[in-house]
Formats: sequence, structure tokens, C-alpha cells
Amino acid sequence: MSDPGVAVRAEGLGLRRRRGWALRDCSFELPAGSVTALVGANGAGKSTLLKIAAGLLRPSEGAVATRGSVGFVAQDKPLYRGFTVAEMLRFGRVTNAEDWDDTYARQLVGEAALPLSAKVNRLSGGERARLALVLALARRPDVLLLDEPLSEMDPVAREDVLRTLMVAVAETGVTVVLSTHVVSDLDGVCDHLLLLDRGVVQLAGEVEELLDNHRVVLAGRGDLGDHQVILGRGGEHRGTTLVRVTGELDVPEELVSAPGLEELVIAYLRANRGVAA
Amino acid sequence: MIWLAWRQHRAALCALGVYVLAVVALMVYYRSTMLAEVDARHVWNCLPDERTQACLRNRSYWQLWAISVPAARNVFWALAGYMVLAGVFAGAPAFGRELEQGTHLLALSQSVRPRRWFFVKLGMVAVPALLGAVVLGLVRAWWVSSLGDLMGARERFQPGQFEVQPLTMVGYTVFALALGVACGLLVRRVVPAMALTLVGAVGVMYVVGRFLRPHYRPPVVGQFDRAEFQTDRARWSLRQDVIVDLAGGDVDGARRDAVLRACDGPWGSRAFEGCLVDHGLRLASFVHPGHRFWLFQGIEFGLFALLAGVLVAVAVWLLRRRMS
Repeated sequence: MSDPGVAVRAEGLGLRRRRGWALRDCSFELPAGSVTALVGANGAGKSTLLKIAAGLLRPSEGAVATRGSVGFVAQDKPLYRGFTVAEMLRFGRVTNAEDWDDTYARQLVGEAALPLSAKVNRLSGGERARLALVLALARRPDVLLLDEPLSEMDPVAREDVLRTLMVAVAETGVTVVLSTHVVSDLDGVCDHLLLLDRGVVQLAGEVEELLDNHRVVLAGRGDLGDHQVILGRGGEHRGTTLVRVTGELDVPEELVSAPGLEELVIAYLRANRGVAA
Repeated sequence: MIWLAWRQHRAALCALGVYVLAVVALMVYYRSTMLAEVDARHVWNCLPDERTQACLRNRSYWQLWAISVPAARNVFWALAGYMVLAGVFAGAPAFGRELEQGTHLLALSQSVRPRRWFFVKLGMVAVPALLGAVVLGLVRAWWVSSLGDLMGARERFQPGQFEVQPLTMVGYTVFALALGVACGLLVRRVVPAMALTLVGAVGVMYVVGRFLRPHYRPPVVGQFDRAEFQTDRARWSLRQDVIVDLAGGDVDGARRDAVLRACDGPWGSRAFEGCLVDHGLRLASFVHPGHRFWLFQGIEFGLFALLAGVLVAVAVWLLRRRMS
């Protein structure tokens, strides 16, 4: 990759399945050290995109380049059920040779209070997710791809996993991409957003910038001039409207507010539904 | 990596090992009890050749012979079962379980190359399973050869013996394993893959034995002559004393019935044969001579090894396709 600041770059990425495109014309760049939320409804192509980036699927067109080594945790956090925690660590050691940092792995397992002799199928969902994360982190990847890492977890486990992840980001500067369909999970954690819908990138960029560029306006779409209306609820001159601001808004200030991340994501997903329907 | 493959498959391999030990113990038991019986009945002289006048009239020998038949049959099914079980319990889950539980995504996202991962796992399953097949085949050969004609040591070309020789055992086992591996990658679920392997392995072994093996070489068509064929005790008779035309071709039922009405006399007598010749027919036997045994063993082994090779190639292709 030419630009040293870019950790993941996708260009015209597409994957055709028998029933149509699972992913199409997908282009984006993620800067090194960023934490990106890959958001979309179920079946939007999130898993497909992550598997391609992890080298587990070959795209039908385009390419994705990642700088350095890639760690990947698949959806459902697959682990060998009959193995103990210690055996899973040994699995990591033998399948990664010199890429494996055993000291780090043992440190992470200790922090997660995972008993080394416990079998994987006796662990709780949260513990399993943490073990899967340990296996991915102990390879010291430059890019870490996590597919729905927080699903089916209680709030405490969710917080623990996010903390482990944030510590790793702070310590090693690893670039992280996590997919989710629950945006609120990642509020405050991610600094970049990649919004997929039905295999197409709807929105990509830095979270702060995206939030800055959008406004919720208590006015109908008829009153907003040149600004790009993403989603309007209500009539022509009343209701709430989410707009992408392209300059000064000619609306009284008290009618304008900044959207939340979740609001923004939902507006884009809904808008796309409306066009399709 | 070898540790990982062993850790994943040790349960199935240990179960196969126990099976092998149990069947070996059974064969050792059969061998020692039969040798004791031979000793007790003083029939040692019949083991090299049971068709001497003295042996043909020795009731004690033939009683023992009747006892040996179920033993041989039990062991045949135990050995045939081993080859199928190896495919079902070691081959099918090797990758079927990984795909069912999604752990292939875990393994393939480590540094190890997919090809290495595949072949180390395959080798871990195949090498011990083939070793078991060789052990079973050799122990059986040792048992049979020590009892001569009592166990039909010279009739190894016959179906029921041909399949459980060491070489064919290895061929069948490697085929069943490869079939299991390919089925696991194809259906991606353990139990359906096991069922498919069971049906496929049994089906192919049956079809090859029943329809293909007799045609590896054209059979020798012999004139009806008991003495000539009796000298080759290792032969494999496909059909004996059947009515054919003078060129050795088959005769349709109506013509055969007409001739049988016209020709009287005991089957095989000179008068009967002379009558057949008058009608442009004769008696013949279709036989693979005993010296073809190793040729047929080689062809059968080569056929199953080839099938196994194709199945492994299919498995590799399926694995690559999973990733594209």
C-alpha cells in the first residue's frame, strides 16, 4: 500500500453469489489506528466484506489491500468445543509459529480470568467471545476484523470485551473493524463508520465529520433549498428532516439539532428502504 | 500442527485402534483354537491338500471345516466393516465437523497455509487408518496360511477372500477415507456426511466386486474337463459347466431348453456332451486362472487408489471454492 496512513483499502470490491450480488462496487479507505464500525442490517454484506478482507473469500471483482497481518474473529466465535482454554492457546501457537505472542496471550487470558483447564463448551458466551478475541490479538495483528463481536452478550461481558479491545488499540495501535447491527453498542468506541446496505456502501467516513455534516431540522423538505435531504418524516413544510449540509442552513437555529450516530445510521437505512420500495 | 490434527482426531483414531485390536484378538483366538482342534483331531495331513482320498473320507476333518466357515465369514465382515467405518468415523468428520461448527474459519485465519492445514489433517487420519488396514490384512493372512486348506488358503481369489487381502484392504480404506473427506466438505454437516460415506463406500465396493472385477481381463473359456481345472486350485470360477455355442458365446433360453429336451443323460457325461456337439453346442467354464491373482489385486488396488486420488482432488477443489 502506497499511503502509509491507510490500513485497509478496498477498490471496486464485489462478490457475486448465485442469487445476486452479496457485495458490489465497494470502495473505501480506513486509516491506520482507526476503529471502524461496520454497520448494516442483517444480510447487508458485512460478514462477506470481513471474510474477503480476512482472505477467507475471494472477491469476484475488485480488491482489498490490508497493511500488515490480519486477525479475524468470525461470527459466532468458532472455537474447538472439546478443547480446554490451554489447548486453544496451544492451537494458536502451533498454527502461527513465530507470529504468536504467548506471553501476551497468557496475560490476556489472565485478565479475562479464563480458567486454563476449562473446556470451551463449559464457558459462557461472553467468555468464549473473550477467548476468541485473545486468539486474534495474540497474533499481534496490524488489522483486526471482528464480525459481530458483541452479539448475544450480556452488558457486563460486552463492556469487558470492548475494554480489552480499547486497551489493545491504545497499546498497539491496531486498526480495528467491528461489524454490528446494533449501532448503540459502538457509540463512543468507534471513530469511523462504514454503512453497508444490501451489498453497497451507503456512507463512509470519520464519525465526527459525518455527524458534523448532517443536521436534523424541524422543517419539511420543501424548506431546505439545495441541501441534500436524506430522510424526511412528515409533510412538505412540517415534520423532521435529516439533511446533509452543503453550506449554511437557512433555517432558524432553534429548529436545528445535531443527529446522534444511531439516528444517522437509521435515517440512511430507512431512506434506502424508501427508494427501493 | 501435527499436535492439532492429533488432538482433533484422537477420539476417532483411538476408537478405530480399539476396533483393530479387538478383531486381531478375535483372529488370534480363532487361529489358536483351530490349531488345537487340528491337533486333537489328528488332521494335520489334510491341511496341505484336503482332496486326498484319506482326507475326503475323514469326517472329523470336514466337521472341523464346517466350523471354520462361520469364523471366516465373521472375520470377513469385521474387516470389510473396518474399511467402511474408517471412512465414516474418521474421514467424514475430519472436515465435516469443522465446516459444521465454523471452526475452519478459525483455522484458516491463522498463519498456517490452507493447503498445509488440509494435508496434515488428512495425513493424521489416513496414516493410522491405513496402518490398521495393513495390520488386519496381515494378521488374517497369517491366520489363514497357518491352516492351509482348512481356511481355503489357496482360494484367496474367491470373493469373500479377495477383498480382505492386505493390498485391497489398503485400497478400500484409502478410498473410504477420501470419500468421507469429500462428503464432509460437500455437505458440511457431520451426520449426513457419515451417512453418505456409508452408502457410497458400500455401494462402490459392491458394484466393483460384482460387475467390474470379473472383467479386468477376459476370462479363460475352458473345455469341460474336471481334471484340468482341479489342478488350479487358486482359480476364480465365474461360471462352471454352462452350455455355450462352439465359439464360446451365450445361448438363448429357448435354444437351450430345446437342446436339454433332446439330450439325455447325466450332466457332463460323454453321451450328453456328444449330443450337445451334435446341436452345435458344448459345455464350458469361465475361469480366471490362479496366476492372475496379483494382477487382479494390483488392478483393484490401483482402481480404488485412483478413485481416492480423484476424491481428494475434489475435496481440495471444494475447499478452494468455499473460499471464493
